[in-house]
This record gives sequence, C-alpha cells and structure tokens, in this order.
Amino acid sequence: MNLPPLAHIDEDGAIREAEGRISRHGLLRAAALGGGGATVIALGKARAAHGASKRDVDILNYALTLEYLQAAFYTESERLQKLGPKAASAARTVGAVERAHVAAFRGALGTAAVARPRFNFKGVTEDERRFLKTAVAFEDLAVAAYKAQAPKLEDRSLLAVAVSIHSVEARHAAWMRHLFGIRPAASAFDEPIEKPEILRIVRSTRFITATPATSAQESPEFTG
Amino acid sequence: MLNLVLELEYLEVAFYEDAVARGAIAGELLEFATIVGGHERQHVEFLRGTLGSQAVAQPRFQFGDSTRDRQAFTQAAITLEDTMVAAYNGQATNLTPAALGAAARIVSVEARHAAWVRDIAGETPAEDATDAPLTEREVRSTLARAGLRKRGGP
Amino acid sequence: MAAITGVGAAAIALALLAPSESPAREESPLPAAVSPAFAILKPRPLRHGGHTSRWADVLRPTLAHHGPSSSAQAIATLSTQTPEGTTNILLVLDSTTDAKGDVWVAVQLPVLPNNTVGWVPRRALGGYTYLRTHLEIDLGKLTATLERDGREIFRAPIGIGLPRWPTPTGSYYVRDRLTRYRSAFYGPVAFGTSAMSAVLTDWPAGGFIGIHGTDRPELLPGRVSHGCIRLKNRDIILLDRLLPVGTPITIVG
Repeated sequence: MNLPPLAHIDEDGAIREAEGRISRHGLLRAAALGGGGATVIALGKARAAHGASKRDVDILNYALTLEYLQAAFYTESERLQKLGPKAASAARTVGAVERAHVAAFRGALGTAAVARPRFNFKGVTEDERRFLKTAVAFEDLAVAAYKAQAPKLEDRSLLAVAVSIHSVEARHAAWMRHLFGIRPAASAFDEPIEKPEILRIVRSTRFITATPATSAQESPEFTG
Repeated sequence: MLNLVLELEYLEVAFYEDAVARGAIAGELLEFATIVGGHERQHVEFLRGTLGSQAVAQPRFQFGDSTRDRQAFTQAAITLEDTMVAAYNGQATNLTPAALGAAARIVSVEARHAAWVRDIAGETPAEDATDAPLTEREVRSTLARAGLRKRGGP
Repeated sequence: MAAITGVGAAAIALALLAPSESPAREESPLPAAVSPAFAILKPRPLRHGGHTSRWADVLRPTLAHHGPSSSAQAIATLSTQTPEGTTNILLVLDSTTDAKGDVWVAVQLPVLPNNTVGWVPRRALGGYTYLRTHLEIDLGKLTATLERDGREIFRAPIGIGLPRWPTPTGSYYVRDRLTRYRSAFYGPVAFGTSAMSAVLTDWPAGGFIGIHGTDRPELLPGRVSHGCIRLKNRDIILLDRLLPVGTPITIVG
C-alpha cells in the first residue's frame, strides 16, 4: 500500500500538531480552504472563465488552494536557503512549476478565484529533513486529490488541464521521495482521496493561518 | 482505448524482465527494474481484467541493445516511462469517468517511475508544468524515433 | 514471456507498429486528446533581488535568548501584542536548527538597548511575510527615503529629535500602523517602530519612536521632536500607500 500522506509520514509530529487541539482560527481556516462560506460567497458573485459549471469552478478552486499551499511552501524553502544542494535544486524547480499552476488557475478562474491564504510553515521550510517529509506528504496528497477530482470534471477541456498536472505532481512526489530516501513508487496503483479527507489532513497541519492585525484605530503614544 | 495502454504495459513488462534477466544492471537500477516490472505486471492484470474479452493478446517483443548495458537501459526506460505518461494523458479525455478513474490509478505510478529513473540517471524528474498528451500515432512514432536513433538514424 | 534477441531499441517501436495481433483500430487510430481549457505558462524562477526581508508575528508570550538555545541567557520577554493593541511582530534575520532538531530564529527586538538581536523558538512565531521595501532615515540630511527592490520610490523632508531627545540610530522595523485617531499633533497616520528613545524611558507606552504627520509643518525639516520622525501630512499620506508594516528601517546619523 502507498503511504497515506501526512498522517503516516509525520511520525515525530513535526508536521501535525496534536489532534484535538482547538484552533483559534479554525473557522477562518476552513473558509480559506473552500470548506466554509467564503468560497460560496465568491462564487455567488463571480462569473467563472470558460463558462464552467459551478461544480467545475468548485473543483478548480479546490485545486488552486492545494497549489497555493505547495507554491508557498517551495517558494519559502527556496528563499530561506537552508537546504542542501540537491533538495534546494528540487525546491527551485518544483516551486517554479507550482507557481505556474497557481498563475494558470487564477487566470482561468478570474474573479471566482479563492484568495491566497496566509501560511505558517512552522520551520519545515528551514530544515532539510522536515522539508523533504513535508514535500513528500504534499505531493502524495496532491496526486491523490487530482486523481479523485479529475473524473468529476464536467468540462473535458478542464479535464485535459487536470490530467496534465496530475502526472506532474506524481513526478514531484517520486522526486521528493527519492531525495527523502523512500521508495518513489510505493505500489502499483495510486489511490484517490476525496476532498473532505484531504481538507481534514490539510487543516490538521495548521499551515493555513490568520493574518495578524498590524493596523489599529488607536491614539498614538509614540514619543511625538 | 485501454487496449493501447495495455499494449504498452505488455511492452514494459517484457522490457524490465529482459533487463533483469540479462544482468546488465545492478544497484538501484536493478532495484528499479525489479520493482517497476512488478508494478507493470499488476497493471497488465488489472487492464486485462477491466477489458475482459476485449483485451488484446500479449505481443512478442525484441529489445536487443536497449537492455544490454546500463546506459542504454536507462535511456530506453526514460523514453518508455515518459511515453507511458503521455499515452495515458492522451487518452484520458476520451475515456468514460469510470475508465478514467481506473487509468488515473495507473498513470501517476508511471509518472513516478519516470521521475525515479530520471533522478537515478541525473536527469530532471519534472521540468515542465504539465505532462503533454500524445496521440496514439505520436506514441508509436516517438518510440520509433527513439529506437531508430539508437540504431544510427532512420 | 518475451522473445529476446539483439536488434536494438528500434524493436520496441517496431513491435508496437506491427504487433503480432492487428486490431481493426490500426486503420483508424484513437482520437487525439481534447485541447486544454487554458494554457499553463512556462515555470519561471524566483526573483532574488537581495532586497527581501521577512517578519513574523509573536504567537505566544516567549523569552528571547542571547543564543539559539533555551539555556542561553534570556534578554527580553516578548508579548503577543504591542502597547497599541496590534499584533506584536518581529523582523526575522536568520534561523538555525539546534541539536534536538528545533528551529530557532534570530530577530530584531523592540527593546532597549536599541539594535538588540535575540533568538526565539520558531514555534513561538507565526508565518513569515516577505517584503521588498526598506526605509532609510537620514538624521544628517533630514530625509526619509523609501526603496522597493533597491530603487527609490519616495523621499520627503523630516523632523527628528531635539539634541537632548535624540532619534536613535541603527536597524529597526515598522511595527504597526495607527489611523483614525483624534490627535492633530500626530497628523492623519502614525507608524510605530521598534526603535525606542534611550532617554524618554518613562514616556507612556515606553517611549517608542513613531513616524507620523504633524500640525506644525512649518518646522520641517528640523530637529524638533521628542525623538519621533515627523513628516508633512501630505507626505505621510503618500507614504502610507507605499510603506507596509514590517518594513526594515535603517536610521543613519
């Protein structure tokens, strides 16, 4: 069997915080992931590109959210420069690809695109071992997510996009697994994972976070 | 439509069996060929089961130099695995949702194989943002070109 | 399983072009894939301008240490909020992983003495925000200059501290932004910084240096304040559109 993403790869808890911990911003995170009201509001107003159905737009926004997560992760890893040469090279190449995916989905969705969430990667971007573990988890997750969603797309031209990304994510998964020292292809078949389970796993990482309030309507008491 | 990929899976099975039997590869490449060969056998069984009586029979293949040494094997494996991905992606949009779901369980494993052997060979496992599809004709001609080139041109 | 003799890799192709079984579809090949709904452009490398900084919010009250270890000397207590009630943020300078595998980050601290750098556990901080802006305050020329990606995008004359209440020099950052208050003295917008007056330590809220507007524009440029950096109101309104909170500040003498 293939290793389930995150849940098994994170045996020392570096990625996931303790289960059952109550999150201050839980609702907001749910919304940012398209599991809550925010997506629905965005879709209600907006007209999606290509005349895509609401169902297809939902799937694209869900894919976009996963791409945002991956793009931010690799981009930060590249910026912080704490990886060895091989991992750094992989992060640079894969990061550029994930950013291209984000740009394409945003362009296609137009005003219907979900907003980019804010991320807190909690140090997994600045330590090679944690970086690789997280990368393996993200990529296996992305493969399983695309696999579950592709057959659900109503528009065949959107399906063409999804399948061409799906196999690239699988290449990334194998690459990161190889760098991490585990088998790139764990079994003969990759299984799909449905959206609620993917979102549950992503939420459990608490990588998606609230934006700090750095402005206030408050009288200054600076030295004047 | 699944018969095209079944045919390619037959080819892969035979290719890796030949490579392992010849003993020209060792170390991680041998591990790769053994494990991947096993995956391809399962793909064949799965596709035969899905196609039932419509499944094409197993053709006979000849591999010659492509399994004779490490270098030739690696290049042939990269071409094969990359072409597998492109063949699956090329058919995906013409499949029923059920057949697509089945093919999707396989194509990402082929992509993993492609990335794996590329990384062993020191080639970038994934440099493009998408894996472009190939038509049936293109799949066949890509493999033809790769082979003919090895032989010294058409 | 397969018959194997050596005629080269072309055999792979030939075998496929003329498989032993010839299904009818050979005459009419499978249709091509449906064209994608939109193109995905070529991946582009990240721009490394060398002008990027990052900040993070304090998630939980924490001690800042002299080095990347909880046994290193504690040099400051950091709270989650500023005196103004905004989220307390820190300019992040570097990070390292300790022997236990915990990540520590070096941060610019909003404490006296000014220019103090401390180490805090990564887990005490939130996510990083990356900025390409940098604000330089020149106490000699009495100017504020904002750069983005190393290029000047704003410059204005300023008022700074009187000689007895000098504006401190060194490396700081924009800590928060206050608006819609009722005080003509501070103008329409006031930015808090991590710099502190070394002399007015009993000032309310601790004597943090602000960057703000003024009701006495005729005094600018000049050495006129208690240490704060004053701009004309039209300049601070323009700066407000260009200066993100978290921007590093260099104050030179």
